[in-house]
Amino acid sequence: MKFSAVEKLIQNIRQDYQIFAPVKDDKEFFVSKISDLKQIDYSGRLPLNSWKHLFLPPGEELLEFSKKFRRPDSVYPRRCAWNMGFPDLKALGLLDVVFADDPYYQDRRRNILVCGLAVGEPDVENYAEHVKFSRRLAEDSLEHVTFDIFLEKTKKGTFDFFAGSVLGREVLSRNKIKNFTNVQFAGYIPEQGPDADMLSKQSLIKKSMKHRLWDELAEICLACGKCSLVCPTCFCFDTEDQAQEKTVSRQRVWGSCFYPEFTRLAGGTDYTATVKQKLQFWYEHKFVRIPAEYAMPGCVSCGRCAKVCPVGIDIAKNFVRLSEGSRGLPATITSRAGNS
Amino acid sequence: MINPYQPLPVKILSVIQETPDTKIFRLKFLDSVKQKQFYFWQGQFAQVGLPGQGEAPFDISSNSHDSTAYFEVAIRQVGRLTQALHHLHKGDRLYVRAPLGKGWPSTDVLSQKNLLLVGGGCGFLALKSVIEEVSLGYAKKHQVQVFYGCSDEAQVLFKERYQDWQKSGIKLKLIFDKKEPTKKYIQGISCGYGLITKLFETEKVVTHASAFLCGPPVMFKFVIKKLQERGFKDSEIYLSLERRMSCGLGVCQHCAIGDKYVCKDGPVFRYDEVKDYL
Repeated sequence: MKFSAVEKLIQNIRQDYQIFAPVKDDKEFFVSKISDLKQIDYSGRLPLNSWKHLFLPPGEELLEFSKKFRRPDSVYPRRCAWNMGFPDLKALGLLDVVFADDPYYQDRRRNILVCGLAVGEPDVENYAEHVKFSRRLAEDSLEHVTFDIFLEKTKKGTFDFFAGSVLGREVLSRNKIKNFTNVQFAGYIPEQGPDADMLSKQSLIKKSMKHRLWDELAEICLACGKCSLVCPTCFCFDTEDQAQEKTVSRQRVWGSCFYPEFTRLAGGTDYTATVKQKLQFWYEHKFVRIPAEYAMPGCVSCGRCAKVCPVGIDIAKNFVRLSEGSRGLPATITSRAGNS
Repeated sequence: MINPYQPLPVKILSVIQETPDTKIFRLKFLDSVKQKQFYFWQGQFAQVGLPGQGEAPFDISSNSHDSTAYFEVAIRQVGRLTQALHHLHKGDRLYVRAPLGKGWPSTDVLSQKNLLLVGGGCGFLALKSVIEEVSLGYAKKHQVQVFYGCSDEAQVLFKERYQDWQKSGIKLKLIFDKKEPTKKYIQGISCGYGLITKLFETEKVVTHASAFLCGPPVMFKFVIKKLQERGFKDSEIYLSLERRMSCGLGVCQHCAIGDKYVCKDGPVFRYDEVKDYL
């Protein structure tokens, strides 16, 4: 179908939903609330800030206390996440599973219409390098990700439509789009079993805790937490009580395992006191714990962490280093400035 | 959907100043139906909190057989929340999510039926409920030996229970590592001076036993070495770990170790399951 059909669809969706989509801001792309549909980017570039704030806001009130603790009467606006890339849909699938029993997440999630976009090869920097690290995105199938509507931009510039849920089919039908492919969700775990690449990375991280790479990274890592901020699968959180005049608000706010006190006990013991421990904790979460618990990858190879790292730590390069043996080669980590 | 973050109000039935920095709170849910249905397994914990102060994990230290009437937590004053909790009195309210986590293994599943329980400092709190449990008959059928190390006499917890425990067949030994004891016996229990590992030299250590440990990381290291020297297999040693449990659901990551969550998979682990992560 022509681009005009896509434009018409989003115009109609806007009648019922707030639209969030990638927008180019100077040189970079960000998920933004859309006022002008012409702003929306269709290049397939992954927005730098990921989409997680739509599903898991940076701060939300879990409970309010006046005479007793009660859940506030929150209103979750109807929102449409438009043009989510494949890695971000995979990350969303993980969040859906991790927060399956979380009433706040689920109530918000129910009101979000998820629309994906694929544009041939993902447009990321250093694509050749990225693909070595990535999970063969092209081979991944729509059957194993969560979405309502999916658009695939063909080489000719036309669009193919897919529906992945009852809601997606309804929205397309309401818009008189009949020429779409229905995709039956087949679970997050492929038919042949858990992702082999995920399992090999899991065992590599488990056996590489003594690798010298960690000391080298700890030398340069600032523990600034930017990687965890942009990571679509970093869902750690803190709970904080904020005292108001007459009430108390118990909030869930984004946390980062790079920040002080993340694992510190009241008595002072801190299990991630050093930068090396923090780095290992982050890698263990993505590559050991998440696969162990959900049989799903904890990293969707979006490359955002490498892109924002102020000292040029590149997750893909780190895996190359770790796979080179238990002792590792001399440090070859260069800064981004050095690369460009 | 059940809200797992919803704490329930409990009333403080009594507060006992157990040591200069530790108080024992006996608690009862305001909702009597909830209290009548309340059950925990020894070694499980509770998230205890106050509005404005957040919540923190505490081992449930009472006997699980009394759970439908009340439950107890012993709280040592170390931070902001515990300071606020220490200001509370009988009749006051606090807020609890419990029970959480996985406690000590049932004695039914242990391959070695005798027990050696080793507690260091406030780690002894995590063993209290299991000691109460085995004092109800188990210690007559099987040998139960308890090594309890703390800094000095003033820090000794649960003294008033020692005579009952002894009568039930439990063999308890105390040892202090900061100040030499002024008395030879506390409530009929002999007191030594030195590190807890010294008891492995001076006492006849129970054999064909499973070991339950709770204490600071350094205690684990040296006690496990002693146990291994005596032929304890890694799969016969259980540890209760202290971490910064927050959500209690295995999501927020504050208590993660390796591929596990202390709040959900623990706090009690078999040593061979976690030894790579300690």
